[in-house]
Amino acid sequence: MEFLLPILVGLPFLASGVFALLPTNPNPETEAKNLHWLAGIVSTILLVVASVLAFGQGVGTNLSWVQPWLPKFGLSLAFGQDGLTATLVLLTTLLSLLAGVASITTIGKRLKLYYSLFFLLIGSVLGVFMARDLFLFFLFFELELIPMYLLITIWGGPRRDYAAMKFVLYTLAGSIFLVSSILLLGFVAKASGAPEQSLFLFSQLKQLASNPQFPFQLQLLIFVGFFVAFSVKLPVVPLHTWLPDAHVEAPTPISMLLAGILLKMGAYGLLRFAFEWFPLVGKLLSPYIGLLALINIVYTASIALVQTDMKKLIAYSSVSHMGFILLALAAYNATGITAAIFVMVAHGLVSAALFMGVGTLYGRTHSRDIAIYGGVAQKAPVLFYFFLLMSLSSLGLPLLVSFAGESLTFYSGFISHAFSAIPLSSSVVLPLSIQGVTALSAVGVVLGAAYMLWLVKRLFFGPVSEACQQLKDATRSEVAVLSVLSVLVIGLGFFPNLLTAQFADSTTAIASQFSQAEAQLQRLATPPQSAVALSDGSSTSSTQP
Amino acid sequence: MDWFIQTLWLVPIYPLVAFLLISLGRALPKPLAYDASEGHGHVDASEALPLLAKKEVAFALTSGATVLGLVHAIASVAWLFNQHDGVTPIEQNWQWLQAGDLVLKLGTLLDANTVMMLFVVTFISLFIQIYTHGYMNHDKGYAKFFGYLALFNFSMLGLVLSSNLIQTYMFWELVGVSSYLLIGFWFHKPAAAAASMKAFLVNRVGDFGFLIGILLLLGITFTSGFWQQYLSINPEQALLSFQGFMPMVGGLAKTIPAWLLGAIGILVFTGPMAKSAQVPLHTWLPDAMEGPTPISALIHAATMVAAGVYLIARVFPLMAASMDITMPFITIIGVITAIVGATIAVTQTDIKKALAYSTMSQLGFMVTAMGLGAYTAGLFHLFTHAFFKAMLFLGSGSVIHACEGEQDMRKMGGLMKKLPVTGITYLIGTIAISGLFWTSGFWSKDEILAAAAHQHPVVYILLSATAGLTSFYMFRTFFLTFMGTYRGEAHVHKEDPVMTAPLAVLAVPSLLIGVLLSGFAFGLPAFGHYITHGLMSELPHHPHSLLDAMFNKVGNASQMVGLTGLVLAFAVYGMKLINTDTVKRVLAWPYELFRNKWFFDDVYQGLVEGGFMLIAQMSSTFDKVVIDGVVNGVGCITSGTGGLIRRLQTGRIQTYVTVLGFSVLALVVAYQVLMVKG
Repeated sequence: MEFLLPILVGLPFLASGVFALLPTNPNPETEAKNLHWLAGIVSTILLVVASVLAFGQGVGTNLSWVQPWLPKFGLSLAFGQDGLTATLVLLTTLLSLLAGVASITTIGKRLKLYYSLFFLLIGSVLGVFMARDLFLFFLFFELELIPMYLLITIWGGPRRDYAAMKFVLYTLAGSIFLVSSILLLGFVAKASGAPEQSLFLFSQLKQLASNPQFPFQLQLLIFVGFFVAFSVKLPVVPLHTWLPDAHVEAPTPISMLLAGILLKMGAYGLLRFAFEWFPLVGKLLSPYIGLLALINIVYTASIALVQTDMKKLIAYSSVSHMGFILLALAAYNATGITAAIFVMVAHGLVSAALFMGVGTLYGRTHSRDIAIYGGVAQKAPVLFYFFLLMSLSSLGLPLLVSFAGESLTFYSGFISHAFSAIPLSSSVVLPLSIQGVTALSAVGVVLGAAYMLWLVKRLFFGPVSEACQQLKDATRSEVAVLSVLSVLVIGLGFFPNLLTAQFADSTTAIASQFSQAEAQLQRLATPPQSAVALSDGSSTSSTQP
Repeated sequence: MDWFIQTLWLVPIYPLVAFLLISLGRALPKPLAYDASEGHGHVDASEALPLLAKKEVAFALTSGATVLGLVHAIASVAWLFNQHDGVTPIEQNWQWLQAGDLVLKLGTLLDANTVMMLFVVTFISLFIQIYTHGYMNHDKGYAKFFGYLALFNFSMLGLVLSSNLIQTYMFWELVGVSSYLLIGFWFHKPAAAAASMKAFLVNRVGDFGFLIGILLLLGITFTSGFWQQYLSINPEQALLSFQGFMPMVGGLAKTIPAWLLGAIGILVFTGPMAKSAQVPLHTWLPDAMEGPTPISALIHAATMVAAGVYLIARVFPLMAASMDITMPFITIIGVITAIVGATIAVTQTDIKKALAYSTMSQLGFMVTAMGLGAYTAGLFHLFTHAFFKAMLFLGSGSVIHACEGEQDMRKMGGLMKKLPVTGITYLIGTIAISGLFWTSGFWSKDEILAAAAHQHPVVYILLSATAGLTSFYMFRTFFLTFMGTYRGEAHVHKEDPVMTAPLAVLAVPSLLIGVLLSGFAFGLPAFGHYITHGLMSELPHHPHSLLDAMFNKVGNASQMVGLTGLVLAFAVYGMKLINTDTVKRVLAWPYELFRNKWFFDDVYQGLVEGGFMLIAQMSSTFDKVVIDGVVNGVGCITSGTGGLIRRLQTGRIQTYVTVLGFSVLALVVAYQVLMVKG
């Protein structure tokens, strides 16, 4: 089964090349039809392969495939799968199929190039989720920028150049931190005598990071590097302003992918590297991370409330929801990890559907201004019911998918011991606890309902506005996309255990890292001057070469 | 275990299935003939519809599910009577979601409390559905309406059967959304759209507090120490299960300070405050009258708004544990709500609004009873109120239907002749809610007043005065609507038997259920006895006869007060002895206060627009100007520098590589420095 791993990553790149090299058909309509079909087939194959990988050998099977690549630099081609990866890969391939279907009505020009870039994007995202070599991960992480940049600049809205450039520069700025952390980690690995030819393998690095001899300052540096890099992607306030612009200018299917899976790369990176590998640092910083999450949730939700641009509103709501992921991670327990991954999937489904919804409206009226809409429910009842369902899910209605993630986030914060384990707590003046920030974050529940329902009211209720007189209801392909997402939103909402079982093994693995760190902290906390010993890294690192 | 008990979870599933089938029917493609007719408002072409989309099918599905629920509930109760001691509650749980150590369960809890609510919800639902068949017959959204009704029943029954607080919270939100959908049923009307949103958001504010309360409870009790020491719960039982509340609260009282326990109680109480329309979270309820009248009767009078009171009863140990903080708080809120609701009701001219404020006031009575510790009295009032208030609302709906949508009582009058069944049942309801002549309202209100008289004279006096006011404003609506001469322009239609039959049925419990469950008649035990001792316990010995009970001191006093209200209303609105304009002039200040609903809405609007939205606007500006300004500034500098570098190099990729190169270099240096230091 392992052989499927590189195939799954390679396929989209192959498809990308094929699309780029396809001969031009003289009849543009036939060509478009053929291209859409071909894209659909490729995405379906990807989805099937991902499903075989995820379910083929029973849930929770860990796979890995490693080939030496550039042994001189310590790089290898390593792909792997655990529950977390499998979940996100499934989400990616599914959304790739749906975004492909959504392209039928939204993308009008240069289809060959479009699909070529589209699959380049999908391939690099899959690479990010499946890479098991840190440098390989980094390459995929950076590679994703190129297709994304072009997809926004070629098919985007009026301010596309500004938005695309902003997106790239922001991410590059984050990458500086990422590459620093990766290299630092590489140096340490080398110094600690790791095998030269596979310096960046996850398994090696994880082992290295959990070594109690690892100097604390270095851990802190690396953690912060990872944290900042992925904070740009997630995004975390104040590194978020690229996102509303990118969303507003990107075409609908790309918005769906951007919100649905690209943001999850940030969450994935945070969880996999910063939090799983350096639990000690994160645990100490947990209330501060929680504070960032609180700002993310409440600040962006209140901004969403006053937006007059519907796509911007959904974009800000995305940022707000990403705050829940950060909050759940800051809780540092198994419940929190489950919550974070659950929110990733839930937001992936719901935000894709919401962007599809507003994109559909935009396609009809060519305006994103909420004020011109009104009474759409009378003109487009089918679209209305889908949009309402997704809005209700987004505001956390029980028995729809987002609720489980959101409520688990709150629960995880309140049952967390993250704060009580801090040996420095008595000397830290800030009266900050993860429980406190979690409680305040619950304001997001009210705000989320406010901006979502107000949007629904302004778009769909009331008398039919002038601009919406001729509005057509959802087409067949739009209904298809929204139906698939709705089934998942309701199904996983009713039976959330189906989803949590999918990534339970990752949860357990990461949680065991957390409890090891907790044990370590308790050991340190036992002698009274432990804080000194902890901060004085020189005494522990002296044993290293 | 008996099949009916084992499958109690089916009770909410029946209506859920009905909802799904109706939704499916609506999603089926419709024939062209139907689409063409829809624009003209005719539904004649409905015969061309697929079976599932027919309105008769929608009606049959929803009411069929309700009947099944009712039968299932009765069968379970019958089994309880026969097989079980009737005291020990029966609980079943199923795992819903597991995350780490946290296991959330959904379950059913069957005790006397559940049985009472199950009966109220299914019984009243059923008759309201029959009524709705007449009321909404010509509405285009008939099937959709029944679908939503089924969705509401699912949520409400799930809430009633909940075995734990977390499950309650879930269904609590779901009834909220059903209410949202039904208030906004005619969403093309801006007022309905605004009211539905307001209802949901005000409830969300309450739920915010409720959620924090739940989180605190969870956070404090979710430690192995607490579980081992205080919660000898068997693993079958769920987190925050109602059955474990007593030991849990006992443990809490020992482990956390009293103020925190009180605060948790108040936080949990904010949920009921919003749902049961208690001041200051009451403003959504009158606006919710924008929904179709059957909804006002079912959700906003009989069942959902009473869920708050039901929840207080469920978590009563938590409330009662804080006699100095939570309980007085609840009492004060309840009394204020009773007074505010009643005073506003006096000034209303819209018949539904008057009834809505009356509901709010009555809910205040129930909550006060909870705060006084007389929770069976509160539940008893919930029980009797559900019948007569549903009947009153359905009566008002019958009037509105007959008057072609007119809701202003100033344009009614003399309708008794045209609408005799409606008029008589409305009069019965008015008498019942005023607590007169030993109708059901007398007995339940009497218990609350007796508890107040026993505990707190001030509360007693305030509640008694409010009861007098209740009688006054209710008879005011009656006289304005049904007596005198007709003042409207609309042509008054005849009553529809489909709508009057449910009225007649509901009149029976409105008259009799109080005395039957008063504990003094026919050897039946009192309502409170059912609730506290279960269904099959031995009957207590009564020292008093029925006659004694009918003329007890508190009862006499409240009857006198009620009669005063009746006489005053008759004098003002029946005989016109007193000119209302004179009263308005003399009592100008209070009149303005009451007519403007104590200015709650104005204050809130000011707060939201002037405070909250302003902050949001400022955040948005901050984001745009400051954060993005910095970003753009950095961008400018970078692109300037980039321009410089570009002269040396050749393009962006090189810039990128250069930056990377420099950072690698910096890292090597940093690493060397650190290592050397080490």
